[in-house]
Amino acid sequence: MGYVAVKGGAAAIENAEKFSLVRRAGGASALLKPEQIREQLHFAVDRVMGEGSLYAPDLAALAFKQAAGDTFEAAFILRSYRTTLPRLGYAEPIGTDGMRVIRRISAAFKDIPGGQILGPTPDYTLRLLNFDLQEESSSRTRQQIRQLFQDAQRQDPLPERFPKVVEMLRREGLLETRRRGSGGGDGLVDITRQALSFPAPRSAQLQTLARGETGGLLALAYSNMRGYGSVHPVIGELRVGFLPVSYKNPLSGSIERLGEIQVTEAEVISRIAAAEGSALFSLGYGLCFGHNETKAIAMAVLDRAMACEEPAAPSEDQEFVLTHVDGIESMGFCNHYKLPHYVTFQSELDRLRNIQTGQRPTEETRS
Amino acid sequence: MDKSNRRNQKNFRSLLTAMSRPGRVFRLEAVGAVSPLAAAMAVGQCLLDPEVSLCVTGNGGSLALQAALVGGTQARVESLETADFIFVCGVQSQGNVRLAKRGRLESPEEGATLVYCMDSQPACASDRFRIRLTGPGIAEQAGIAPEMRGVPVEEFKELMEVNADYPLGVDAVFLRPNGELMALPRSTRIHVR
Repeated sequence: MGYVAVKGGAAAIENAEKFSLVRRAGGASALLKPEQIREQLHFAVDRVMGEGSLYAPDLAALAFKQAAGDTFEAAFILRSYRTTLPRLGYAEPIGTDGMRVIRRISAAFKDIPGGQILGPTPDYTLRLLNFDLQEESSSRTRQQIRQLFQDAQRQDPLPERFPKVVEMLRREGLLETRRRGSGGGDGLVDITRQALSFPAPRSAQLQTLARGETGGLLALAYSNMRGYGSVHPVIGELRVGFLPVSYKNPLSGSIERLGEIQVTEAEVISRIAAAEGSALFSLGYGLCFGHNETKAIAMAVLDRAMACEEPAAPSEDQEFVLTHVDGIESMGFCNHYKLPHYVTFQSELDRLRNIQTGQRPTEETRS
Repeated sequence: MDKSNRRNQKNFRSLLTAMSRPGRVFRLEAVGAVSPLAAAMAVGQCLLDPEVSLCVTGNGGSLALQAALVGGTQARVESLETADFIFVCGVQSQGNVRLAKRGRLESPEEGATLVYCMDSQPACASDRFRIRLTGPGIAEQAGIAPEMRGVPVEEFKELMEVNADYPLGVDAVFLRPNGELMALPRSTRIHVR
């Protein structure tokens, strides 16, 4: 027997929900507004959108507020909401070379066409607590921002398109062409409609990684980087920016622009091991909603790692990776252990007592 | 989120609640006496989109309802045998429920959902107390009588037969123009006295 229905405790359950409200909003400070979260805690909002697989900054901020800052819960709430929405159509394919870039770097080449654009990042900042933020002056901060924009006007405007860095390698014939159909076929599948089966097509792999949990992706990718795998990545290009989303109007047939989404894209270059074929570089690809560089890089490393013909480490085994990176599934499974297991545990207890007293167990029980 | 989206979310939640509490009557929001099709449209807007198929059957108003649902949701029109959602104008499917798809053992979710769009007033004498409903979502061990009046015993018998091979079967929603709804998911066991 696995589980039994537990009756009673309904009032306690309702009170538990009410106490959560006290925990979130029972303090003396002003209640958070979702727009404050969306603007000032944008990394959290982006993470919730990516893992919830719905691009909706306002709703992700609301979910983050409702979940009191728990990104797992917030992504869960947002993904549940997503399932209630009508599917009105499919966007046209988007080329990321047309991205309106706010940040673009390459660790492979110093001089790249269009230049390196550092953009907004804490990468080059010392990780020291900034005590000035404790009493941040709104007027002084706004003055700083005004000054920054005034100085920026004196700079040359950014080009509209930035060529892809990895295209330089591709033109020289140094990049491996990914074998068509590797990983189970070329067809574009939708993982929200078809359950994953293995070997999964690359479209299913990338979709699963794109909505994977940042920490889960990072842990597996890190294991590969540290030596439990063969990918030694160099970041060919990392971009953060906005992509136009267009849609073919089914009534008029014309292509209409719906708006923009912010994404982070990473292309990592890795040398193919001698045993795997000729001397070429191969590419790993990562793309996720919002500004989340760690996730995009980890995704790209895992994409490359899973292309190995014969997995020698967990991070190279697509079944292992794809079934463990979803935050909502893993969080749900982890937390289901909090549900009553009274009967299964009682049977284990009886069994153990019987063994200790030298009696044979009367019944085989497994949970 | 605009007003209609918010209303759809609330109505979706009401449908979920109704499916979780079979045999009980709940109410959709913002369905007034504006149009006789308003309640059916409210359900359609929660459940239909261009990816699913629809069939409207029954007498009186089925063409108007089909036009409204297709116009409002872009759902595809298909035959009774293949449609994902079947809207029945009236309270009796005239045996059509037997033609609805019941899913496959590997994919029971492919079974159709039926929405009975009933009249305001019960068309026939209610003998709902001859019916007992038991199963998930019904706390009473002895079962309950369906709260909505006016569903003929014959239709319960049809559903009982179609849902005999659980998890294969159909899910049904009974709807009144004022927005009252009662759900009978396929997991509900129907007993007729």
